[in-house]
Amino acid sequence: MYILGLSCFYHDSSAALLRDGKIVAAAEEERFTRKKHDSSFPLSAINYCLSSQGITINDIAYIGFYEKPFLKFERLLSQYLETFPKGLWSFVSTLPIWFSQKLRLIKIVRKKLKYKGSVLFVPHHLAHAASAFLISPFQKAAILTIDGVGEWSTTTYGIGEENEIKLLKHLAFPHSLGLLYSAITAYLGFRVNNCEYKVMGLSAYGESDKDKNQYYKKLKNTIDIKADGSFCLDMDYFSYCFAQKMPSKKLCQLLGLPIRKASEELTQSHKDIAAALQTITEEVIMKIINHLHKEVACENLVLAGGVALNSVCNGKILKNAPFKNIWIQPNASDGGTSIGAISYIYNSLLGNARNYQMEDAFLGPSFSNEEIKTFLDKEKISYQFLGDSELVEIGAKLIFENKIIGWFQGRMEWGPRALGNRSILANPLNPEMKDILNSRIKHRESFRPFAPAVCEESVSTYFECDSPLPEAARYMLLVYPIKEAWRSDLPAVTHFDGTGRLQAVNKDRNPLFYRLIEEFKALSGFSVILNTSFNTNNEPIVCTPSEAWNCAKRAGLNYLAIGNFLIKLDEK
Amino acid sequence: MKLFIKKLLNNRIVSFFIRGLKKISRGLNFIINTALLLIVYIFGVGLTWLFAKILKKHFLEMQPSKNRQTYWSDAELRGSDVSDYYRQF
Repeated sequence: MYILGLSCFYHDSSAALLRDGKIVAAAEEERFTRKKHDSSFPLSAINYCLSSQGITINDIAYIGFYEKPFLKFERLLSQYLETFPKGLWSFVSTLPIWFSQKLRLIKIVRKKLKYKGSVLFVPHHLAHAASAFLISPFQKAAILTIDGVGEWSTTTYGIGEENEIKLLKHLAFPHSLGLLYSAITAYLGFRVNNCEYKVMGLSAYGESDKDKNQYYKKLKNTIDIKADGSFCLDMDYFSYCFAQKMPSKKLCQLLGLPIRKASEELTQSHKDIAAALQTITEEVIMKIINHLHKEVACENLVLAGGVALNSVCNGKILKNAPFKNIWIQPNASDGGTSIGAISYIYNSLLGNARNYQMEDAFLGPSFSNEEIKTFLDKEKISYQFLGDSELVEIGAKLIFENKIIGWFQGRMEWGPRALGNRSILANPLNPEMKDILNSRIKHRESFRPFAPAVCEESVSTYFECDSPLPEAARYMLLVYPIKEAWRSDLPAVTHFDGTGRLQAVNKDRNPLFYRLIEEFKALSGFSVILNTSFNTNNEPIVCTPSEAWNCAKRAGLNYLAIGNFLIKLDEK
Repeated sequence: MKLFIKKLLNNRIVSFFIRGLKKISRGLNFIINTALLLIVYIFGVGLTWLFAKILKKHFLEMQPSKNRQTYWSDAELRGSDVSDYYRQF
């Protein structure tokens, strides 16, 4: 039985395909359309999913959608009714797209896909919960979902057992941790639903001591947090209920600074605001998790929702909460709900026993050596064809010699992180590498850190991490402090506050990448490589050989390892 | 006949004219949409807001309350009846 999952029309459209309980293909639309955070109907992602299995739309038993649009519309109308007349411009500009698109999903599916079968609508937070629990290694787990907003819910918790999910409590719009984070992201001059992770990275430069950070006390005025972790925002400080702009004038007065323009320099005040926001976010999440443990007696915890991508907070959960195990889906935000919808339909609605556990995030398209060779020959690109052993040996040597290489292998990753299949790799030992990559290759802000990819067995050597190491570390979802002894040796991947968002590379899940790191260790003594996504700023991660080649040229990489082909671009 | 229409559509002047018409129709669409939505907002949303204000009814909770012990509320329980999920609400 095939079930197709869709998420679209808000941000990060995606499609996912389930075959007899197993997720066999999934991809975000942006990777095909090359439009970052593409929210349009994911036709290209759907076509990929179907062609990967050699099926047509007629083979699909059900299509699952990641939310209930009419419920969401009800919430939208409530916003306008509550905030009249302030919402006039938002009302006039937003409603046409609801009538032409968001409330007509079935019609759009029938027209674009020529699909005559059943379309099922899974509530948003249920889709999030399912995307985490039903493909996790746990038969029983406490579930916590936190995002901007679904239909009405912004935060929910519940319990998952076998193939059933029961959501117990929720917090309703407009009280949202995700939207609080987005509002401050906008206040700091970054793009909403795009740059929240930049604010998380920036927070390391701010004052982490809440007694010393004046903005912590100020921001606490905007949110009332109860002992059980539930919270309520003072909406006088936020205008997202009725306007496109999220922070209100009152918030600007409270913080004593105007909304930062993107071109303005970041000051220490901005960094302190980011740090204060991160501290408050962690406080709320820890309180919720501790409360959840009292409500759901269980040692396992699964997280989902956009806020579950806050890897700085994730890395502190097991140390500060009574749960023993944690699992987070690699595409925890809205893009991942397509997997949640289909898992929920197959397991919970149709009553099938769970028979799938996500063990890696490699669900996107792959390209054979023949296909790559055809492309390279067509473009008249000179290359060397190498066996796997030669490739990792030479690749490691090049990285050790401070060359920056594009690494394009296997199936594309699912989720926002590059995990060694669509990556740019560099030497983590070089103190100048971070600046080189930020300014010359990726063209992004200088404060942005880079992630270390580490052989799984060596993680505890370099990091002060949880033991046993959670699987979430394989997906770059946890930030841990790098041990003091290693920080000066790994300057390119050690963030300002001494932490690193590590990727634990498993030998069985990504053998080629694992071997590359091992080869690097043989040369350098360190089983750590700098791993960043294969793209330049404001561009989705590359998907095809052609995109990899164009990006490599544009970014000025030294080498491109694409399949078993090594291409030299530049000696510099 | 089909060939003639195809040739006509490929004609530069005709396609320029068609593009122009499309722009005008988009513009008109925008004006009519905006006008209609303005009327709906003022009379539909506005009147409802007014009645709600008189009856002291709120659609969203906009302020914290120090008196409350918790802000958690019961999540809507969803059964496993597939027919529930055909609905968009």
